Amino acid sequence: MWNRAATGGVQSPKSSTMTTERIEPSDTDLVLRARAGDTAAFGALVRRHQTAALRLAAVISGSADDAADIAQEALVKAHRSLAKLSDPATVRSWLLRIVANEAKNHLRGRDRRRQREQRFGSWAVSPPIDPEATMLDDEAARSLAAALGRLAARHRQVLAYRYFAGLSEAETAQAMGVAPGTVKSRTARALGQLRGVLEEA
Amino acid sequence: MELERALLELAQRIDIADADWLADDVLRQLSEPPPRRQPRVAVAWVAVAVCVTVLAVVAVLPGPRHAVARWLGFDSVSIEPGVTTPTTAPTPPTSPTGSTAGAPTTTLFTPPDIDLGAEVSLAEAMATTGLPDPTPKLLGRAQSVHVLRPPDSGQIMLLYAPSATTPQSAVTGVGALVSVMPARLDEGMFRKMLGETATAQSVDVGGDQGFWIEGKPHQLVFEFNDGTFDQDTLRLATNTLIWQHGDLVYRLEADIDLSTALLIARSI
Repeated sequence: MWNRAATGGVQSPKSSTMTTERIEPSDTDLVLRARAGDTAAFGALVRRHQTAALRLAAVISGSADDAADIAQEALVKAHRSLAKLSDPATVRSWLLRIVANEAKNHLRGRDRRRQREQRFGSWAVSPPIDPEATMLDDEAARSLAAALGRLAARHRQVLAYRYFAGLSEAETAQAMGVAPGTVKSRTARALGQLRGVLEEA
Repeated sequence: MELERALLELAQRIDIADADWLADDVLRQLSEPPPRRQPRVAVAWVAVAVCVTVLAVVAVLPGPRHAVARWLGFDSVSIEPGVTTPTTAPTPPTSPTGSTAGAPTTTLFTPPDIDLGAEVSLAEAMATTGLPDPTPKLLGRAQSVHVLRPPDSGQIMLLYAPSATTPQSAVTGVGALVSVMPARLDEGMFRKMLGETATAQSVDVGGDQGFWIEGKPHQLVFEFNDGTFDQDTLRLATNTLIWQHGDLVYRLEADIDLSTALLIARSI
């Protein structure tokens, strides 16, 4: 039934004006198609947001090695819950919220604080793309990663959404279920705590 | 600022294992049947019987109720913040007009100059016409509700502001129109009056007979249940899904594709 629009009947006037220009479907289009059973549309949605999902999972769980497993588990759950997403236009923050929750569960189940801090410090970090413009040599990058591991969970989470997943303040507010003003103040406090941790080290 | 830049750089340099295969792995897992739980039947029934017995004791004996309930782990509901899959997206901010879901841009939206009759509340419209609520859950609350005549008993029309799901019509600026009326679709007459500038494709709308109309129809004709006819040009000059449900005709007009229209229609 869902394919009839593409294959059915008489050519509509709209069809004759079609060009070869490729138009990317919106997130909303992909959600609606995925809900209608188009698994490939869900795959396209995953590809679109996977970098953000992976970075978020890595920062919240502290494990770059487990990030892909966490994100995979979360995204499969998200697919099962797609019907519950009330506004398809907010799918990005909705997906990332599910990933963040999965990462928190993973963290909670795995180990104690000391082990977590060690894991944060042991991230593999790629070389800078532009060595001239970099702010972080490898040691500084590892120190910063380790410092993230010592933050309070809610502070690490807001930094993960804003700087690692690239969400706007408004999207972060949606994902965290708080007011945008709370995101702003919590981000400021998190950065303050992070500075303090780096200075102590 | 420096610290923020450092975080952004670190984000780009985290070396994540197996990242390239995420989408493929997700799709592969989705294609596998979910694991089935097969508890041993006898054990399951014994467990059910024990639970029923204990719950009966809890119910009839107020004294031990608290202790037994706590032993079973449900004397209080414990909610762990942020560990569950969100069931709905956060509610978008309410606009000054009171519209919420499906109309995120309502603060900037001025209803277009199309004659939809007087604006009423949804409850009023339903009471006046005796018709059911035509609100599609997927679109949420309408920007405005109208009662149109004919027929004498009225038809309900919901107007939606443009949204991500229903983009703005280039003709009128409306996102979508949804209506319900006591009427009958006569396919022969209906097709004849469409003219050559439109196509009507027969579709199944959740088990109901419907038509998907694309192009610029000459007229859209239905017979109301009171014996009068309505001859209507499409207001949006855009795509329309129209379907018969019992003795009602529903109509969805929006600049969307068929699959989206069917999903919206099924959410009514």
